[in-house]
Amino acid sequence: MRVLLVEDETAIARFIADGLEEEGFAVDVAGNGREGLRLALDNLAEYDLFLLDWMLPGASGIEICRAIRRENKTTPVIFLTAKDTVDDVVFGLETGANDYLRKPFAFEELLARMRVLLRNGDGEQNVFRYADIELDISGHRVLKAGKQVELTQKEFALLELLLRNKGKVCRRTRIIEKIWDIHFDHDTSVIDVYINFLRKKLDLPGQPSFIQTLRGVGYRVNNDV
Amino acid sequence: MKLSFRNRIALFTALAAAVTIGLVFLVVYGVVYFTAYSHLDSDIRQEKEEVLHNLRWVGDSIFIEHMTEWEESEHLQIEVNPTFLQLVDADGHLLFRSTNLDKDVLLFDPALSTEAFFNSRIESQRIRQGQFPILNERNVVIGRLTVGISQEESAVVLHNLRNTLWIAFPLLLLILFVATAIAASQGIAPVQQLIRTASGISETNIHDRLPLPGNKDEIYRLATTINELLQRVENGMKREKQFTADASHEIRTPLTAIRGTLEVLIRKQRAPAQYEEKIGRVIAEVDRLNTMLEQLLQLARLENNPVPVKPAPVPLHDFLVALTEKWQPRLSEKNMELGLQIPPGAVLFADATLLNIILDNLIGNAIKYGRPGGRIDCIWQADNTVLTIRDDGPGISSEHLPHIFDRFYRTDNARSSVVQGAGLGLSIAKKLADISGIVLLVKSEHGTEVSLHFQHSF
Repeated sequence: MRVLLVEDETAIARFIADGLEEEGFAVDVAGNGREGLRLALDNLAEYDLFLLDWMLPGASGIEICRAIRRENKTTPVIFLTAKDTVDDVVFGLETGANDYLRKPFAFEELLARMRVLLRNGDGEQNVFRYADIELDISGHRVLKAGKQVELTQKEFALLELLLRNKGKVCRRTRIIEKIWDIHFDHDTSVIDVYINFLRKKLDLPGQPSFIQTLRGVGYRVNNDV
Repeated sequence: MKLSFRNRIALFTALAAAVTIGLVFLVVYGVVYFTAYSHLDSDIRQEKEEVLHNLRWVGDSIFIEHMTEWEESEHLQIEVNPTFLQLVDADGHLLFRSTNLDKDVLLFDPALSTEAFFNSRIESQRIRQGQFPILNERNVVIGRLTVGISQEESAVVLHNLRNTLWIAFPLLLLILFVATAIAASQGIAPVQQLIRTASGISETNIHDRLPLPGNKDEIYRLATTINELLQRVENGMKREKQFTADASHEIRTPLTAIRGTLEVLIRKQRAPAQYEEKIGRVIAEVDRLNTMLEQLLQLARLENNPVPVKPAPVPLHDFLVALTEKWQPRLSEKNMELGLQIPPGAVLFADATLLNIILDNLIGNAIKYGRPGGRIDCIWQADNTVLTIRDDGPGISSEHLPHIFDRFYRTDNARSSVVQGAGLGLSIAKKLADISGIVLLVKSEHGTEVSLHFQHSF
């Protein structure tokens, strides 16, 4: 999951980015409104969620939100702001934001709200399975034959991406976009390293891997037989 | 007795009218009175001429010729338009009287030597009578003729006139009072309307304004004046609201950072170095919060309490040396240089405590926003008592210049938090400068130049 955080206060941006990265999100941080607007519009499809401060130098969070909504109706937007009157909240939500958190907020609450917004529509699928592998998003754990397997955040995110798109090819560029943030230097061989980690932890010994390699294109987890 | 505005206007008008109408009535009555009497008097004179025409005198003796005149009915009877005649000699002995006089005697005054007119009564009749001396050739009074005619008609006219005026006077005043009161209340209806609208404006609808009348009259001016007042109140409220919003934003930002950093930190076990780094950051945020609260309190105190200003001679050079000493660590951190171009003997007249805070804020600001590796100069111009603090940093763009003394105002560059600060330092410096009578001017072309203009007060 890739998130764009637009926040001019570095101290706030840093802890949100740190915390979210620990949770397996790829986080891009923009320190002012102009940069935020540019990043949002340039990579609109890659982001799964936007976290916007309201009062920003350059362009306000409201302007960024409006710009996003003109192009894209569904990607969730959460306002993080010190503005706290009911009018402000209503105005923020009417702009097209999905949620609104008043500063100071609890990080856990931010996480919980982000997860709610990132659930898949009505299905609200939180558990993905393939054979005896079970990925529980809300519990943030992976079970293999009922036993918990320890995964790093990047491994978890990679597995989630593959299982969410079961039966479809996840292209290498898409994997990079979704799991690594913008500062990553497009050396996609890192994907192969993480795929190998996953295979080591989850494959059955002596059987073909549950992740298929499509050379030069990407990876796929097949639909259950 | 307290009268309402409209009744006061009505009363004043009624009083003025009472005097005017009273005078007019007096004149009218007087004119009618004199016209009536001069008419009677000319009738009497005519009668006199007729009588004299029938008299003859020789020496002191008066001879009455027989004349048809005497027989006229007006001298015989008393009821309808009688004319009374009476003739006496110089000693007052009766020579002749008209028949209708009977035994009544027409009054005459022996002291009167010239002709005279006066009023009297015969029975119930009001009489106007004229008394004329009869002179012989040598101008000696040889007798007196008194002619009286009824003035009943004139008296009735005058009487009626007087009564009419007496009744009309209060009636007119009453009508005038009521009419003026109505007109006045109509006249102040727009004012009443203003009062109603204005009293409906409270803080919830402070942006409402009074409707302006079409006519640019006094009411229009009143309404615009009230509207201007409302605008000032609204601006004040807006500033206050802005301040609260800014203050809460500035307090919540470090709080959010502190809370979030700590929260993320304790989500799992970490290496000691990571704890140190994060806690160090939290402490920096706490310091920032603390500085801001100090500044806010300082501003609040400045606003609520009059600050005593005790100007005294300040040896500027030593003063600035002492002040800049504490900034040395920050200066060397940014590799900046601070130059004092102040002659050692320079003395200015100011409150040292306030000046210290002002200059501390300005120099701190110059270091904060100055270019790393750049320089700051403090220059004293003795001839026009101006102290200038100049840096060679990026300067302030013209759109921000008018606002830099606003509380919590920071330029976008300043906000992107490489530089910490809540944007209160300059507000404090400005406020203190105002209090101490120092004019603070900011220029920004190449770098920023703040100049303090001291008053020539010594």
